[in-house]
Amino acid sequence: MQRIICIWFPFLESERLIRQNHDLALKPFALIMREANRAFISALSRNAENMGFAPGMSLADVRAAAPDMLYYDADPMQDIRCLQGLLRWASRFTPRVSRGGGHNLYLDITGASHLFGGEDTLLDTLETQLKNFGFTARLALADSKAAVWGFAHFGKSKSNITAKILQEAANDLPVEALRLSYASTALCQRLGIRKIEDLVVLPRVALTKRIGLEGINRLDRFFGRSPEVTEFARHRKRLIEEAQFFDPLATNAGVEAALEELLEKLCQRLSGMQQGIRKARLQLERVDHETMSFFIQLTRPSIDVNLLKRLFLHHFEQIDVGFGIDRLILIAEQAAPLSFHQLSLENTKTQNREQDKERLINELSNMVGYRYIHRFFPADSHIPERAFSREAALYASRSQRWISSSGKRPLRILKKPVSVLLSDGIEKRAPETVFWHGHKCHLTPLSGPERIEPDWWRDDPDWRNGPRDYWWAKTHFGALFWLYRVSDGMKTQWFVHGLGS
Amino acid sequence: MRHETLKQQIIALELGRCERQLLPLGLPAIDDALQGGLDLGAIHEVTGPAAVFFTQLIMRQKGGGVFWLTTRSPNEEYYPPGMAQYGSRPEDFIAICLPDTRDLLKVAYEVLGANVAGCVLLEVQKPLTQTQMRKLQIAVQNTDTLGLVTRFTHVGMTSPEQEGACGSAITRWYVTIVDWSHEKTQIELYLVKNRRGSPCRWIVEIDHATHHLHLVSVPGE
Repeated sequence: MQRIICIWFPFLESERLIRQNHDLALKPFALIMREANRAFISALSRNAENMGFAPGMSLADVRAAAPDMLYYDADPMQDIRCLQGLLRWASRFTPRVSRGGGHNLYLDITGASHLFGGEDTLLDTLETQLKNFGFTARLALADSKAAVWGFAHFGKSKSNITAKILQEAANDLPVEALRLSYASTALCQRLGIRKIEDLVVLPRVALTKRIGLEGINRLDRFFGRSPEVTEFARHRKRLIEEAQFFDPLATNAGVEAALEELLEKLCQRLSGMQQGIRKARLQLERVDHETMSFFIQLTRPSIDVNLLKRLFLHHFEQIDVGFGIDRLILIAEQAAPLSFHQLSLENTKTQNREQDKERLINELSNMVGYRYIHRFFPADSHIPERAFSREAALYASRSQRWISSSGKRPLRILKKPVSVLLSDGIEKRAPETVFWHGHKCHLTPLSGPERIEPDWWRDDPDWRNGPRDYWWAKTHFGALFWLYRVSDGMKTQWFVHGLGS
Repeated sequence: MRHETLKQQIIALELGRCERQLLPLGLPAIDDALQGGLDLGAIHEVTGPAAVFFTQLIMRQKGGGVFWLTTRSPNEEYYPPGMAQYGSRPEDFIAICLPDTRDLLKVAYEVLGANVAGCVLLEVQKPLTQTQMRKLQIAVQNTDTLGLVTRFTHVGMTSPEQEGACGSAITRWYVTIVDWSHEKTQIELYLVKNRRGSPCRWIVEIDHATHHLHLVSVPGE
């Protein structure tokens, strides 16, 4: 049987703010959200809630009742980030942790609780540690996610429910603890069914008609009668190595040595499985519970310890050791089968070069970010700016050969064509003088026109002026312009779209 | 004869190795002026309105993959389909585009020293300092990579004497287009700085189909 802990943070939003600004601890304040031109309360601090306010009230009402109440803008993204931080913290108790909807965390502690002195002690530890962080938490421990949610939200805090006492303990919970649909809950209220004990005594067939199959399913899941999908995505099938230190590591060199050891262990395990690391994360936990994560990515899976270590070392200048690091976790986020083993006989010079090149791309991608390093790929379009695409070199392999189009194309292209001349009437020939970046520029037309029609199936704002006639022209200072003409019947405008030199 | 050998030895000492590796451009007049061709494992500067055309020519001549390093420009970018038409191989290009010149130079030192590319083309907004140039030269000197530095300017608003002005490059070129058609291009090559000899000028014709170079004339003669 699974044992799952649910941690609910009833005052997450306000306590997050208090953690940033301790002066707020004793003051009542509210977090507001704006919708259209209405501002309403999305969360309240504990003090404010004790004064009788509730989320959902409009800001105007609250201010009328309590003029000196402070209020701040709510920031749901920050709340989620805060929860993710707590999730990382929780992963020290069990690898299987997940974040539910709302401000809930789930910890699957099956077979892990004895490491922390038993289930009740573990609940106490969790509560005290969270209290030290400044968070009010309501905890519950039961066999299923559905039940544990109900007990965390509506039961006694730190209730430890075993299968034996589940039935009995559930009797006192209100119907809302089942998380039925809004309509079903309202129906139960109307029928006078307030508690779960009132619900379970009803005949099942009649109940199904009233609260629907979904409701019955929820009830079954609550009592562990039907299986539920429990997702603990974080550490599923993940390759992890970790090291704990009694004496915290105080220098980068120490971290480096520990990292090497972890990499060796992990690579040895992976080599047995014929797998290599494609993406890895190193998590450092400091004595003061601060965590830092560093990612690396590779073009092809590898188990080369030196290579992997070098990639991590690029991040090492960001490490803030603080009072010391007492735990290192190395996670192979993505592993893939090792493609092939290079035999020494085949090691010709060019092959070596290709490998070195790949290694360099790996290293640079991890040094400056893979988004900045590209390869070019041909694209099938006659529109000049669409005729190629760029992909991150870390993921893309070498492209096919390029097929050249019929007309000559420039060596450089201007992403936004530069207007160089506007003239009255319709001109057919390329102009003799244009203004290039504010300078007068004499042109010698060389060849043209080449007509390029826009894609009729695509509404491209740059091509709304209709077909373009492209010309090649040489400037008096020795550059080559690729320019085009668009006319609307009254005026003709010339643009430079590329440079052939 | 002894004079010649001594000269070669001095050059080799300058480059920090015992023998010169060269990339001949395939035109005797130019190769003689460079004493055999462009030095590999060295930095060359290409400037002028047709700098891209000439670098493209050198890169095709050299082969073996190109690392193209540039600071992000707001509007201009290289156009691989056009490169392909002149015989370059854009599939072997790796473009590294960073917003900051300091980061770019850091990457440049790595790439030049790794000896994995045929050419490394570094494109910068402002002229490099003597120290930066020297560091590039030191990074590249024990490899057979060809280092090319160009400056990103609005085409043609400068003269050969204004451009560049960095001491450490082995050669500096100022290139302009003389004539162009679908079949061939005529360019004027002005070798502004030449460690291997004296500055020279040529007008050269390039056939787009065969990629052969012909000497058209030598201005001033």
